[in-house]
Amino acid sequence: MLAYTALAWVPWGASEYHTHVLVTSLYYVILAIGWNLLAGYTGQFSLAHHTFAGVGAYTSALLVRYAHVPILVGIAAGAVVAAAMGYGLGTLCLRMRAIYLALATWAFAESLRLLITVEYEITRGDLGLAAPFLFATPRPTPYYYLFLALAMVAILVARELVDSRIGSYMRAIRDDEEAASVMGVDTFKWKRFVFAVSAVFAAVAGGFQGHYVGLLSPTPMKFNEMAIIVVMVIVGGLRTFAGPIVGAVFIEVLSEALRAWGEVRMVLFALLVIVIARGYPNGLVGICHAAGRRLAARVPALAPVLRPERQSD
Amino acid sequence: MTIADRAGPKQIANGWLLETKSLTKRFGGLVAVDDLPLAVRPGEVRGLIGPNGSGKTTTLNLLSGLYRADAGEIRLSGERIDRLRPHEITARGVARTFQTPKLFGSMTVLENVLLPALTELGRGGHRPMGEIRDRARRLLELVTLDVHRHAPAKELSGGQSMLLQIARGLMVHPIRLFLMDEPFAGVHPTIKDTIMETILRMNRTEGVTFLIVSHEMATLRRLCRRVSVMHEGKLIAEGSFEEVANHAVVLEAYLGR
Repeated sequence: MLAYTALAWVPWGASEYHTHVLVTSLYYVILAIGWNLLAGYTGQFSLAHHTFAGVGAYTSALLVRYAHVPILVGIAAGAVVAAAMGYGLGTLCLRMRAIYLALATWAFAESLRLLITVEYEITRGDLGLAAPFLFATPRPTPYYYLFLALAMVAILVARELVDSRIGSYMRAIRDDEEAASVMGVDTFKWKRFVFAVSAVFAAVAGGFQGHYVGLLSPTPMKFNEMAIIVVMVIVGGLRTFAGPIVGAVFIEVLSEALRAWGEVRMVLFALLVIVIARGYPNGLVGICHAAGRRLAARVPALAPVLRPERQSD
Repeated sequence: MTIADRAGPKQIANGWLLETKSLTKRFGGLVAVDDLPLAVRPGEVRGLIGPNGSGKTTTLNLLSGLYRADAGEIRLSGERIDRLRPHEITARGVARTFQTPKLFGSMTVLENVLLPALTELGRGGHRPMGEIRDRARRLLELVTLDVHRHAPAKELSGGQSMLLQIARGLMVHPIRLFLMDEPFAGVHPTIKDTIMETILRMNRTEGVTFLIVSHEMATLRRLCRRVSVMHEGKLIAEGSFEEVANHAVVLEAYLGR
């Protein structure tokens, strides 16, 4: 809460460019949280998460363009469509494990991207589809507050879900699906449910993002985008609650800071992922916890302040 | 030491808690379970023996809903359960353990045993949480894991993992039929004793019915009055140990005579 109050003042001190970077960071925070629910907590390593951001964005922009609905209605429709598609994709993947699920979801993501590219008479494909600005301006400040609020809601909803009975089912499915089913967990129902929920996270973020950027193209539906989400969650800490939040902001800011490097950044991120996966499976969050514990051991007076937050798995 | 078969809380028309008819499961050309008739009375502790590959584990997988039968039927207290999914069978009071313990590794020991109760509440169960926690603690004490209740399950030894599987299964409520797959294989003798004591205790005090797949004849002899013998997917004999041991087909299957 305190941190959020501080964050609310940011646009006053930062340039528009920096504010824009933060808006994009917050957009990725929502995507990363949604994917962590699916991949981190439930163990469904889907590679179609970025696609649902595209589904949200295109659904809304197309409805606004052709049916002239208000933008918020378009975004809500995008969430509904994504939920249905997420449920459908989850159903398709019910009996798939690990690499097969990853491949199937990847195939789904590529098909949808190609469909949007090819159907250019409707979607304008690579020409780009104009999406009207939500706040009638491309300036980032109002969108910053919007995404700050959205990220807050995403965090609260995810926290609620993870701490609920459903959160226990999700972890049980991830740890051992067969054991979960013979202990009474309806694994099909809950896997589909998490697929749908994470799709809604992505679609809402994507929908608002579309009406902020103002122009949609199939490019962000390429696999690169998914790779970035995976990098964010793993660097931040897969299976930790704060991981995707920390990772999304860290990677997005780093990515902007190193913009001059171009695509070489991906090499750096890949190395970062390898180092983290090898040495610090709980990512930056895990490193911070370890550092906190060490500091608390050295300076006992600090212990209550540094009390590590709930370990989420 | 054997225990008398006792009638469970639910008496049904034909007296069987579990009954399979012509149960069949094929994997490609292999008939893993072949026309199996198995019938277990309420309150019984039944052994299921047979050489490796005789279809014992496949039978448990069919009974718990992990596999779908190609033919035949499974009835629990007269109700057909062979088309139900695993969690629906669990909801009817059937629990099981696996030969290689399948735990929720990232959860604590206590969270593992509480999971069946969570699903029970999710189905609309009305047991108060206090009662559930009480039972969880008592079961963990029974299997000597109470001191480890806050440890992550992945840190347990093989034998302890088996004990935890058993405690977790007993949390299914109301537990009527407990299917165990090789609970004694490769565990330390003290743990073996704990498992036997747990089985006997739950059978006596709560009338839980057990179907135990095992190779440990001496142990089964102390637990069960009757055993069923499978060979190449078929039920080849059933009865007391003495009856079964003198059965010509069993001798041939087991000893090659």
